[in-house]
Amino acid sequence: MKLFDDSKSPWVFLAPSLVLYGLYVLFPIVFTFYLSVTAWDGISSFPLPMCITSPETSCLSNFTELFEAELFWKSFTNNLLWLVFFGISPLFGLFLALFFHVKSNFASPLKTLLFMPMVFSLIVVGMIWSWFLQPGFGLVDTVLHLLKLLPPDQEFGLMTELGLAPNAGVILAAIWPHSAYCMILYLAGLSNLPKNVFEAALIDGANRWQLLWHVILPMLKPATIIVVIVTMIGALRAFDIVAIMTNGGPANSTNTLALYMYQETFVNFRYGYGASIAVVLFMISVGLILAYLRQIKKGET
Amino acid sequence: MEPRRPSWLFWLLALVLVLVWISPILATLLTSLKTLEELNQGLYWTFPKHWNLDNYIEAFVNGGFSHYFINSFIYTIPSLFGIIALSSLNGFVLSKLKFKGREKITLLFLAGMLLPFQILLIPVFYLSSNILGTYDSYLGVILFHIAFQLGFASFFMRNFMKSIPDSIIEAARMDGCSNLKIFYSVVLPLMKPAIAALSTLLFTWIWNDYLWALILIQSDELKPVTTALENLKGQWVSSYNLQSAGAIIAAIPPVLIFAFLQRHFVKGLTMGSGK
Repeated sequence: MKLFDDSKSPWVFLAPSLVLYGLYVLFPIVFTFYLSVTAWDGISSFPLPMCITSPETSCLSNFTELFEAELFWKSFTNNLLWLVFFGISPLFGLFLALFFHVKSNFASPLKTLLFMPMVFSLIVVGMIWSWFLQPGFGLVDTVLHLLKLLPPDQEFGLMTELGLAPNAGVILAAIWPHSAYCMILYLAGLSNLPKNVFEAALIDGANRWQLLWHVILPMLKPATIIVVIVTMIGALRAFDIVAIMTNGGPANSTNTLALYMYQETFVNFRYGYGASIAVVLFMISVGLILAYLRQIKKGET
Repeated sequence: MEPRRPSWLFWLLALVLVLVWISPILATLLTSLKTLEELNQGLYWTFPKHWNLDNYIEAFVNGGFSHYFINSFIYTIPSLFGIIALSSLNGFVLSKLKFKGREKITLLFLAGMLLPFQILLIPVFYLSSNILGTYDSYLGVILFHIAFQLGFASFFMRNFMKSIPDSIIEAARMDGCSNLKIFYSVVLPLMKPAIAALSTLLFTWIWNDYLWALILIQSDELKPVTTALENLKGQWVSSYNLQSAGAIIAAIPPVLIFAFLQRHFVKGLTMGSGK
């Protein structure tokens, strides 16, 4: 290992990356925290904290306003819904990966077809599912009519209902490509498992469920950790598909924190307030990921 | 784990499953080949009476899609090369060179791939418009994509590199090679599967980006295919056949890349997630 000691070249090699990374990733994190205590409008050159420009306001007044805003809590609840229901995708992904983990050259074109939704832009996915869920002529209505679950003269519009229904439509659309991504990660995990595990367990008299529960799943844990974290982040930053399918509507019933943040910032030009939403979103993500990793660690000891 | 041998029942179930799974894509494909008259008769989910590519021609020529399509390539290709170049170098440094602070840098890259990007939104906009002057330019979007994907890409490359035995590098070092020479003549050729896998993912992600182009690009002539698609949705409100054609056009390049590199993709991903 001594041979590998080279005091300067690692930093020379890393330098361009660190400059870019620092400029576009690290600095922005700090700067968003700073902006969250300002009332920046996006135009004035450099914003100062609110409590300095007007001493009677608190520096945290963006946050007090945020926690009193109805739309914030609405969006927050929707993100919680996302966490729960978008969280189904790892199960689909695992099922598909286990099902398609077979020894045959013919399986690979089928796998390619299963990957397809993941390759599509979420904008495209959102457009497709919007047509599917159209009342009257959409595929969902067509199938309901065919199965006689809906009288021919009636329409069922998931996206135009009030309440939770439109959320179901948007999340369903998002589960589709994300399950494909989870499947890929699980397929990679499966092919990493030692080859003789299967036989050894079967010789020991384990049935298929015991095999899955006691042997395969524990060994897939590294893949599961990645899949769960990717899914949590995906649920929290849901934006594209909501923007294209509902733009938060009807009556803000599908708004998410990411969309709320975008609207306040780039539509209402309240950059400071938008930054405070981003900070809250960031804290929730970091908190969730750390809690999950701690839970994993606990399980290991 | 040894894969099982499939039976005829597997193939039957698999075929049904795949058909249901991709039915949204098939429906879009069928819709894109129909005329508006046919759609207005309510024949949404049937085969088109007359197969024609008029919608594609309409979208490509009159919808300006040819232009947006080229823009998407202008964003994706340089970003891809930039990320691959930097992250393979980083992967080598973080897995094969010993230096103080290595673990910290690795952790820094890992953390970058876990954060919700909303935290970057406003400062990146601020940086581009007020400091770097790269707002509303190809360069601004490309630089951001490179920086943003570096965390994931470097971590991925590092994991892959760990599966390459140290003895190969040691041997090159004995021959008197410098680190740079070792990197491009020994390490880089070995990284091909990982580069193929990473390129596939990155191409898809950058090509499909919507949000950052929305934030950093204002002029219509610089828009990529995703934001253009969103505009066209408003323009052709109920012309689902035209919208479908646009959606299919936007999806063709990543689908081709994926189909082309699929074999390398799963292999590279497997090795990349090994450690």
